[in-house]
Amino acid sequence: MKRYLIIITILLTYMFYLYGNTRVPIEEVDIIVGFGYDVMDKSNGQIQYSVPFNSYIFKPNEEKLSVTKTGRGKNLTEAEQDRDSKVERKYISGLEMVYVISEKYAKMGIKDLIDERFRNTEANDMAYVVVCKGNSEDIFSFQELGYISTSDYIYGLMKNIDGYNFFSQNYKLIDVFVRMDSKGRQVLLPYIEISKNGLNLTGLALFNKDKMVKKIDIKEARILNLLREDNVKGVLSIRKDNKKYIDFYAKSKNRKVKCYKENGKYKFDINLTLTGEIISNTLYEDILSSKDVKEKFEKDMKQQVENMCNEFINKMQYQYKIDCLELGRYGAAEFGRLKNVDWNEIVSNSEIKVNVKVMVESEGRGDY
Amino acid sequence: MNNREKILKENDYNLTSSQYTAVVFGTMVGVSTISITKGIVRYAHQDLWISTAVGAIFPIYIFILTMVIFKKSPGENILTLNRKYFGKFAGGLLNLILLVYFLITLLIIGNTYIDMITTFSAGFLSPFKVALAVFAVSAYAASNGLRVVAKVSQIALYLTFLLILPSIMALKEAKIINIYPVFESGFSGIVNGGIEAFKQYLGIEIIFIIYPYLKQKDKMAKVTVNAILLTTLVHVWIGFISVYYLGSDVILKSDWSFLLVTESVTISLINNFRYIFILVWSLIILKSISLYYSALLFCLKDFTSNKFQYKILAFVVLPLLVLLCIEFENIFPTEEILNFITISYEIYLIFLGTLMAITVSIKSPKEQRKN
Repeated sequence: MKRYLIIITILLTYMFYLYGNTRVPIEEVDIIVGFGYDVMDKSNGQIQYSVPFNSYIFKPNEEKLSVTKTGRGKNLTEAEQDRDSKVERKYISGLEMVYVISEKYAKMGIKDLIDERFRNTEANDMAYVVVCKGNSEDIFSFQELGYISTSDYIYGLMKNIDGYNFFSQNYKLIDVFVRMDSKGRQVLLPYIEISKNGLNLTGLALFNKDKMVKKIDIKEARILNLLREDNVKGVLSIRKDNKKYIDFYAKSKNRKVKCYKENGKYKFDINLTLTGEIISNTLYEDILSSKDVKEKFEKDMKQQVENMCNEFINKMQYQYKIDCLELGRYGAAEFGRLKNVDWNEIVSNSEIKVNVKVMVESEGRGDY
Repeated sequence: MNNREKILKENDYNLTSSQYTAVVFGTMVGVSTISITKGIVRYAHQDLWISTAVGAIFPIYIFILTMVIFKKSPGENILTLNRKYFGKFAGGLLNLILLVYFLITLLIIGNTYIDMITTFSAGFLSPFKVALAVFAVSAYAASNGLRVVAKVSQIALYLTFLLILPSIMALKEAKIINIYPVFESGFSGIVNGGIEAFKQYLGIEIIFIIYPYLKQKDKMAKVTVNAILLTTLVHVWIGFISVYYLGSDVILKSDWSFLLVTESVTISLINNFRYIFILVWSLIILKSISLYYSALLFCLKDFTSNKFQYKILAFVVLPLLVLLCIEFENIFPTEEILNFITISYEIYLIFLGTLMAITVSIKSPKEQRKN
């Protein structure tokens, strides 16, 4: 008797708790894998928001497809409402892999969308955020061969971004949360575009607070990353001519930034240690056996990297006028966060010194 | 003396020292632990983790008072002592304030839990359904005696560490630089933050009621201090890792900052750690509610005749609790009122404990001689 009573109670509780919920089988659910954010000019001078999403569709015969749906409106929420009217199936978010922001949107400021994502409890904070040329809708409808959706492709691109060019992995949504409004920090996002070779990474988008300021190309991004990120990998080379060059696969270790005041002026020291291996060499003879040659290479490389860095810093201070190296972060840690100071201005007007130390750890299998 | 024998007979109410530690730990670590940074950050900024340690002054003071009372009368809790020393009316009034407080705290925890669960994982459930489930389960646990609740607390203790330890991985993701400069907010900032952190240690007052139930009386000091240290460790760690990973500017914006830290934990096959965290943390909250429910039952028992068993009392107050919890926002419309209640209660606890400690030390020796 008691057993039946328990079973009946459990069943009634179950029914009570599920009453009023509508549930759909998983085959009838779309999974959103990428969100896009665009703005467009309208003929009457106003701007229009457009928010596409990229989603998986599961077919009964185990076929997977991806579609892109777009909504337009006067602001983000209105555009989302408009988009919802075009969606015929139930969808779930929370499994998105990428957020693609168009360059124009980023230049107008991403505060509204970051606020929306921060509030949303279903947002995936580990999804990558990228800036794209043109519209994100075009990016989503661009089909890369062998991938179900473009979002998968961009996700893969970002996941493997840190192999070369000194890129880090700090391009996730949580990194934007952490950087956007913090003292002395700046958002930095990868920039992708569709070229004739397909969809690829072409540089970095520099932000000042929530607004994108400038796009820099890969070559410049390499130096910026080297100066800004910890524990990154990339190739540095010295080139005499087309046939005579040396490539050095470097890992940056123990990056240290010092901030101090001298005569009321801020000064920054960036100390970099690059260790790694020589991956190709037609420039230096006997680098394997002779210690002098090795030391000469290390000295030359140090000189070259320091020159590159100083050139970039000059450009940053006089042209971009933003603290994209996050030096203000170290300044704030040294001199206090509670004061209201503009680190962009301070960094642009202060002396920045770069010290590089190069150490060759291995030379590969041999010197051919 | 008669009273004491009766307590010892009730086997369901005797705790081993590890159970007692879990209970004391469990009273303080609960629903607000993952949002511990919320109030403190306004005063102490990046030094908030120091403030969380400063807040431990509150449980330590309560602990010292308890030890004074415990030394003089190890067998009777504060509810009995209140009536014994201050008479039926004044003592009853003091107990009534405690009862009302436990009721309000239950409502606050229940409401915060509903808020959390509907925000993060089960938005489709109405507050009524969540409140009913939560309070019914807790009532069942509490009605079965303190030992059952203590066992639940033991499991919850392990779960707490299971949930908090993965955040060590966040150490790799960020830099120590976020907590510098240390002591920037100054003495006043840190102390103000510490006073704000007292809130996080509320719950410790339950030891006023449960201290007679520890089996090995000689271990009382050690066991309680262990629990307080463990709690402080958890609070400081959560404060520290939040600042370390997020920086003080982001903490200011986030209500549940520790949940953001756990995002950095990526376990393969698990897409989103957040849901798992909330799900397991629910068990820890259920433990908190059961503990307060027990405390409420102790107070109620003090007012009713011996005829009523805990089992009956537990289910008598259940509908009232559920009803009040749904109407929570109408009863306490603003956060200011809640803050006022919390602060006045902190003051009341310190007052009550100090008063009792003084009374006990003055009066108790004479009475023993009489006997």
